[in-house]
Formats: sequence, structure tokens, C-alpha cells
Amino acid sequence: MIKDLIANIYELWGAAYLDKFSTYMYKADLYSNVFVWMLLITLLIVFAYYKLDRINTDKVSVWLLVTIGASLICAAVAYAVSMNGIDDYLFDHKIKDTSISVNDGLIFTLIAFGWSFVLSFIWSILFKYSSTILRRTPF
Amino acid sequence: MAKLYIFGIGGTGSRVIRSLTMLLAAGVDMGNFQTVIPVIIDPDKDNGDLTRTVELLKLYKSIHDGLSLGGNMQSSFFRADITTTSDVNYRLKIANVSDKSFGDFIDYYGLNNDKPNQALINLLFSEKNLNSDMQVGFKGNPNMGSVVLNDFRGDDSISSLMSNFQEEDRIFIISSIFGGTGAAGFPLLVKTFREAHSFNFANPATIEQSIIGAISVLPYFGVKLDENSEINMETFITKTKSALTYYMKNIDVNSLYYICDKLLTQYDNNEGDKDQKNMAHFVEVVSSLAIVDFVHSDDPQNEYKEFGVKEDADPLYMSHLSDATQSLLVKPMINFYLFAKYYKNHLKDTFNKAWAKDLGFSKETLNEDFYKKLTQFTDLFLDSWLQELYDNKRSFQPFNLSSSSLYESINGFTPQKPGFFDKITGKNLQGYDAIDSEVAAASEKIKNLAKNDSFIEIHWRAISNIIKTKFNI
Repeated sequence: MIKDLIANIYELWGAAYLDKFSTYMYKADLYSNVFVWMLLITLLIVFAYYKLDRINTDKVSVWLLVTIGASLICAAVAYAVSMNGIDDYLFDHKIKDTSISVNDGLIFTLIAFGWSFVLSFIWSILFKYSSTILRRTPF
Repeated sequence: MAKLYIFGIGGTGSRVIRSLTMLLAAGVDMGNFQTVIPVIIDPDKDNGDLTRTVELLKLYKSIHDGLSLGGNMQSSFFRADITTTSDVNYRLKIANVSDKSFGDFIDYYGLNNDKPNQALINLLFSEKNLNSDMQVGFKGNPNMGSVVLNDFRGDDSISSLMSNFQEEDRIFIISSIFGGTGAAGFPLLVKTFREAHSFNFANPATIEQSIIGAISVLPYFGVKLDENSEINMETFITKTKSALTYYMKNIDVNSLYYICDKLLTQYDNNEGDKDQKNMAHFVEVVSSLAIVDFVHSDDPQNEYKEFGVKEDADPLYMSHLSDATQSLLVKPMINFYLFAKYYKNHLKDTFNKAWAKDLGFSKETLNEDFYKKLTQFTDLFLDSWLQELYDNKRSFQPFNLSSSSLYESINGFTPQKPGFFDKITGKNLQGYDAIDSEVAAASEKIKNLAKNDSFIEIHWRAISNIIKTKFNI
């Protein structure tokens, strides 16, 4: 159930279904992997930003830099996990499939980047209230 | 809350009240006397010192009135209420001296057929005195002042001003001893209050028995020699000696303060009018501190006080002052100085910070009357008053006004340097970052105050914390 929900999130409820790439991602349970990484990385970075609560980081530009940074890291992790994971899955199951392209991986990375950004934003809304200096950042 | 009636006589009176206004803005503690009623007595209505002080008092008043100072407000900025009555409006109108010579005023020229009295007047007043135009004051002639200033005693405005005088209220008189107006007006004023039943007061017994304090400012500056001027600094000491002799037997006040300094500076010799606008001087700051000392004195009886410093230095820093003086002055001065610097140089960069978002504070807010007045006041504090104290002789330099470093510019006090751990944790920050950080913390705690009150309270608390952290004050 959760596995399906996570898959739907990354496939944008079918709008970004990438044929065999998506199939292998689902079968190898790589979506959940990426999701857990995304959850942890954004949580850690955004939490650290608000916990440090420094006056010189009390700027929307800095907050944007932090969230984009966190999202980029998540995107890189998503790319690595997906491409290596599919390779491993194909190898383990002795499947020869050359239809998986780097393009598929990049599209998935882009989607992961977008969701990471959204997640960072949600963490920000939650954590900013625990902060003193950054309690009104980004708004 | 008790009221303090402060009478500033002549140019020195105006200048001391100017310093007091700055100190009250900074939050010098006035104890139980949170209402101050300053009255300037000076026939020279265009005197630069007087007009400048009256403008400053009005500015202070409008800022104070912009604050409700209710709730749990701790800020001492602009806390004391400086007030007046509509007919006095900070300056007591005395005697119609406009377009009149002193001779006209005493009707000397009507004594043509009264030779003995004319001869007596000739004995007391020189020809120069008699021909003197009094529109610019008494030009250092207390013998003229003592005659003319008698006139204010019958005036209704002083009666209406004193009509609310209560038992717990006090009176303080500021005068210089080496000029004309102050030296003449001081004994007259004391006599007026001590013999209030002889005048048109509503509550004479209360006034007569009131606690009166006074400061007599002895020579602390000279004037350049000008043969066309009636003011000559050579006479300052002689005049001081004769006035002191008179005061010894004729002044009945509870506390009398004396202050003087070496004559280290010579001002231009202006007999009065708008050109008489002397730079602020350390002695005037100390004189205003005499008022603060007076309000903290429980039941003063025949007290005579002089002022001294810990170290006779020039330039003088706050650290050179005695511990007692420092305890009155240092914290409010540093607090308001940092606030004024922050307000002038950095506030515009903080509109995106949490406190500003909480209060809905933006660039446009600075166009509101309260903030425009605050801008004017802080500019006058920094660029005019402190600068004059800095440039005068003896130079009083509580702050290095040319320093670009915020905390290093506080002369005589070394800020605590941030340690390695402080750098990691972001504690003990430098420059305006430190204030911003404290402002964010303070603003989170302050709720249910009006916007102007919140603004002042947040910044007062933040800067107070900085002073505590960095200077342990």
C-alpha cells in the first residue's frame, strides 16, 4: 500500500511513468529507498538550519540556498540509487534489458529534486516555530 | 508619581536642560519623579541655547507621547514625562523688555526732577547698564537682572504652572553664577518659593515647605575678548566670589550643588540672541546629573555637594568618572548610543527580520510621525550633542565617534572578545549582528504591546543584554 503510494508520488500518478524504468524501480523497491533517503537528508539539513538559528543565515536567500542544496543532494542520491539499483536488479534476476536509458534516470532525478524541495519546505514550516531568530524565515 | 519642577535660568539653564533631556531619553533613572516640568527663565527669547532646548523638549515630548509605556514594559528610553502648561510652553515669559533699555524699564529718565534717586541709580548702574537693550538678556550684569527678573513673580503663568504642586513634588533650580540672568534669577526664585504666601500662588504653604535643590554653575568656560561686548571673562571670578558671599547668607535650599572646571575653552563673545549657541559641555552633563542625584536623595537637609572625577583627564571618558557617577550614567548612555547608531545605520537592513515581520514594520513605517521624530532625536543625540561634547574643551568622549567598530568605540570599556566556543555557537557576535540576534530573541518574548512600545522595548532589551554580555554592566 505504502509502496504503491510512494511509487505514485515519483511517477506523478502516471504522468511521469517511464515504462520499464518505472517497472524495475517498483519491482526492486527502489522508490521506497529513494524516499527514505529524501526524508532523512532534507530532515537533517533543514533541522540543522533551524536548530543552529544563526542571525547571519536569517535571509530568504540563505534559506533558498539550504533547501536547494538539500534537494540537489537528494537528487544525486536518487540518481545513484535508481541507476545502480536497477543494474543490480537486472543482474540479480539475469535480465538483459538495454531499454533503460540515462534519460529515464535524469527525469526521475528531476522529479526527486522537486519532491525534495517540497519536503524541505514542509520541514521548514514545521521547524521554524521551534526557532527564535529564524522563526519568520522564509515567511 | 511625584513631579519635579526644574527652573533653568539663562543660557546655562537652557544648556543643562538640554543635557538632561538627552539623559532622560537615554533612560537615566529619575526614581519616583517620572514627571519633569522644565521651565526656562530667560528674557532673551531668541537666544540660540534657549530655542534649541525648547525644540528638543518638544521633540522629546512628542516621542514620549507616542509611547503608552504600559504593561510589562521595562525600557527606560523616553520614560520620564517632560511636560509643561500651554501658557508657559517651557519658557516663562518675563517682563516686557522688548525695545526697552534698562533705563526705560526702571523709568530712570522719568526721574529728571528727583536728583537724589537718580544719583542713587547712577551709583548702582553704569551708563552702559542704563542704555543697555535687554532684549538679549542682561549681558553678564546680575545687578540689572535682579531688578528686571522681579517682574516674573507677579506673573500669572508661574502661578498656573505651580497650581498643581503637591506635597511630594520638588523644585530644582539651575543657574550659572558668573553671568547675568542666572546669577540674578537664582536668589530671586528661591525667595519667591520660600515666601510663596506673598505671591499669587494657589498653594503657598506647600510651595514654601517644599524640598528645593539647586545647582550653581561656577565658571567653566571663557569668552573671547571683545571691546564692543559688555561680557568680559576677567570679571567672572570676581562676580562669582561676590555672588557666593551673598548666597552664603541668603539662599535657603535643601540641597545646593556646585560645579566648575578650568577655563579650557573660550567661546565667541556673543551677548545673546540667536548667536549664543554654545557647544554642549561636560559640566552641563554633570549639572544635569545633579538633578538625578537630587531626586534620589530621600530627605535632603542643608546639603552642599561638589562634583569630582576619579581621574582628571582630558579627554574625559566615562571610565574616568567616579563609581557613583558611573552607576547613574554608564548603562543608559551606552544603551542609547548603541540604539541611536543601530537606528541610524542599520535599522533599514532589518525589515526582513522576524521582529519587523511580527510588528509589520517596513520602510514606510519610518515615515510615520513617531519614527520621523525618533530619527531627528537620535541624529541630534549623535551628531549634535555627543559631537559637541567631543569637540569641546574639556572634551568629554564617552564614545569614539569616528570609530567604525561599534563596541570598540565605547571609550574606557573593553568588550569581551568572542572565544572559540562562542564562534561555533554563534554567541557573543560582533557588530550589528549581535544586536539583530538579541532583537530576535527579545521580540519573541514581547506580546500585547502597542507597535511603538514594542519597537522601543525590543531594542532596549536587546541592547541591554548586549551590554551585559559584552561589558558585564
